[in-house]
Amino acid sequence: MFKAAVGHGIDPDSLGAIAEALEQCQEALDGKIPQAGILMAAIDFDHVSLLDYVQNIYPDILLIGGTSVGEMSSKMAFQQDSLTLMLFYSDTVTFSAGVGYCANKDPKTAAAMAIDSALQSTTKDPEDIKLCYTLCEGLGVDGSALVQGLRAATNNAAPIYGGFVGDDYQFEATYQFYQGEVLQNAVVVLTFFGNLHVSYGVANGQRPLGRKGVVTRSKGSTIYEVDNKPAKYFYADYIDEGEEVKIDGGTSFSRSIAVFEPEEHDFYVRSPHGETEDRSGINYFGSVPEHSVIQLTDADCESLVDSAQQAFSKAKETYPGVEPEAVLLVSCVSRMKNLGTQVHREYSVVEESIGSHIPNVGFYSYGEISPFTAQNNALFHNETFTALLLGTR
Amino acid sequence: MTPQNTLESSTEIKSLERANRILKKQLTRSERTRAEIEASNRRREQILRKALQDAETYSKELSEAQAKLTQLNQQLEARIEIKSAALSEATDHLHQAKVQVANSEKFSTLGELVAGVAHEINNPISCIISNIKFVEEYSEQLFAHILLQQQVLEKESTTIAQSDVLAISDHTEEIDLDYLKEDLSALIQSMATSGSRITEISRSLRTFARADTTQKQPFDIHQGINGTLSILRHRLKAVGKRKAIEVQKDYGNFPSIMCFPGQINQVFMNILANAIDAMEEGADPSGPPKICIQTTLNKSLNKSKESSVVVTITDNAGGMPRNIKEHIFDSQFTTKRAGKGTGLGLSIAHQIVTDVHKGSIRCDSTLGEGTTFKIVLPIA
Repeated sequence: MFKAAVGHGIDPDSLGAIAEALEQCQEALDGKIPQAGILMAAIDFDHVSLLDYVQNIYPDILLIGGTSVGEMSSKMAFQQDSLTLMLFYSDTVTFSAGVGYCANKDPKTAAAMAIDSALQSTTKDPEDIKLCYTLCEGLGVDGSALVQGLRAATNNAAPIYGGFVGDDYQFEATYQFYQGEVLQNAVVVLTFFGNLHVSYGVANGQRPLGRKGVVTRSKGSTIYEVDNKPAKYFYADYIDEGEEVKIDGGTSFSRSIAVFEPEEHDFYVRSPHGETEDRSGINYFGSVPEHSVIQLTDADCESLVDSAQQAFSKAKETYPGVEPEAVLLVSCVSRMKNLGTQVHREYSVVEESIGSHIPNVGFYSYGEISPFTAQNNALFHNETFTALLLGTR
Repeated sequence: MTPQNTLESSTEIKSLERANRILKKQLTRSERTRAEIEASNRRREQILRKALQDAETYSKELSEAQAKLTQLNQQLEARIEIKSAALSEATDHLHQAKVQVANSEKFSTLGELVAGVAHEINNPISCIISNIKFVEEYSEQLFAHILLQQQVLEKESTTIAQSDVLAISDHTEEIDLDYLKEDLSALIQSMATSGSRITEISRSLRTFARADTTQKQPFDIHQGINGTLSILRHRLKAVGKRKAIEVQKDYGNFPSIMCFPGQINQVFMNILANAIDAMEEGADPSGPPKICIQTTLNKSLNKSKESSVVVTITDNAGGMPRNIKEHIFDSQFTTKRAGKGTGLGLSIAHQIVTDVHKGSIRCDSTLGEGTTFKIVLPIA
């Protein structure tokens, strides 16, 4: 038996919100004690109080989570300034949780630390992991390196899925939850063992637009020069003279770039989150290799909504079991900003496909982690909508 | 208020407080979202505007590039046409040059032959001409001697047998001694004139056929014209219905010019022969057939510009239509019947004057009247 219960609280009061979410979960669990849970909460909540509240009721629960920019669930669809809670109970699937620290400084080591600590409480090997759900610090972490670290720590055996937590697009501080702790610069994992089926899908709906530039100097996730000029000049053409060329978040325009690696016709998307301290380079949520060709990207509501549908459909088509028993969603915060008042449509099209009877939760992130459909190797993404289907049937 | 009512009121108040908190939060969120959307729209407009500007710029650049390409194509085509025309012209020149070389070789061989013949004629004709005066002198002496003998015979007629006197008288009558005396003198005079004429022709032939050197040399073009006319003299005489062609000369007074004499003579020959041909080929000249040859010195006042001589040859052979006149200097163009002309005469003349001597040659023709060739040759 595998049971996923969903609660969604929209009360701005922290205790009020967690109480109503937990109440919804308990109703669904019908007296069963959950073994694990995922809590996503808006930045304004008192996060310590939230964790305490859950742990007071379920002292043995394996609880991970983080701050989010927007939340969605099968209870209240899309919301902002809310929290979602998904609790798991199973007699065939087992769980473990782990945490790694200082992901901003050494993401690969932090990833290995998280997987190791998750496995320590079990007798399982990395190859036994059926799913690794992960949440990571959203600022200042090289997303590509972190994913490489997680893949290495799981011996490339397990599908890794999750995202980078956010802070309501303030780009100041994000928090990760591990049991009763509220952390920064951490990566937390919830690992699933046993008879579990999973499938996943990824899509972005972005299209490259405007002038092309060649990355002439970059290091890791920082671009210093485009066409032998400081990187911010690449943006200067497209931003009003009255506005400072300032890539430090807090705006609704993502300024994401399509990255065409040398000799590649397909692109992936990278989103910026700020400038280096000396303002000589622009930091992105993932590495951008030198000699890549970059273009700004644009998307409209229809392409974004369609891509959410595509991602879910890919996951659904490849689900190995009869029917999923839970759905987890992670969507990029830039999509939310681009969709604006239409943002609810992204969840609506997915909800229509899932059906109201399958519990689901999702959040808007600062970066997504998922393998492409039917592949096992997780990748770091920006600007994507990702869907994970899981169950035992 | 009962405890039940108190509990209900408290629950309702909490519910209202919760709703109030949610509404306040949603209001704050809405205002923030609205500001973000407005900012986002501004940026999106900016990026699209810029992209549009770029597209327009690219489009304009593309258009300009296309126009430039078209222009380059046209220039290229024009250059190809020019090159093609130049190639065609060069081919013509080559052809003409080949023909001219062949003609020159033929001319050279013929010239050597003519010069040789002229030279060979020189000695016997000199012998004839130099001896004619002796023939004249001797014949006068003979006639004087015969006269003296007649006078002696008349004085001594009684002592001479009558039959002898009669035989002498008969023979005198038979040979018509008086006429013979008179005619012999005329014959000798005629022979002297013919001898001079042979000498003149021989000299003309030698002048006309002289081999050109590789460098220009001084040449009296009047001598060249006269020599050519001498060679063509038999053709100037009346033939059939056509009267004799009158040649009117109006020579200027100027010294020799530097040129290739043989080639210049060929030019005069070609033009004059063509004029005579036109008069022979049924053209109906306006008035008695006449060729006027005028030469003048065109002295340049500009030091940087060279002085030149102008040779104008005008006939009254009836002229030619414009469509013919436009092609008379073209290679292999001819109006003559097959076998009569090569079609190269005037083309070669044009080449000799313009290419070899850097002069000019022009043809003016009025149909029904006549044709004028104006040849301008630099003096050096």
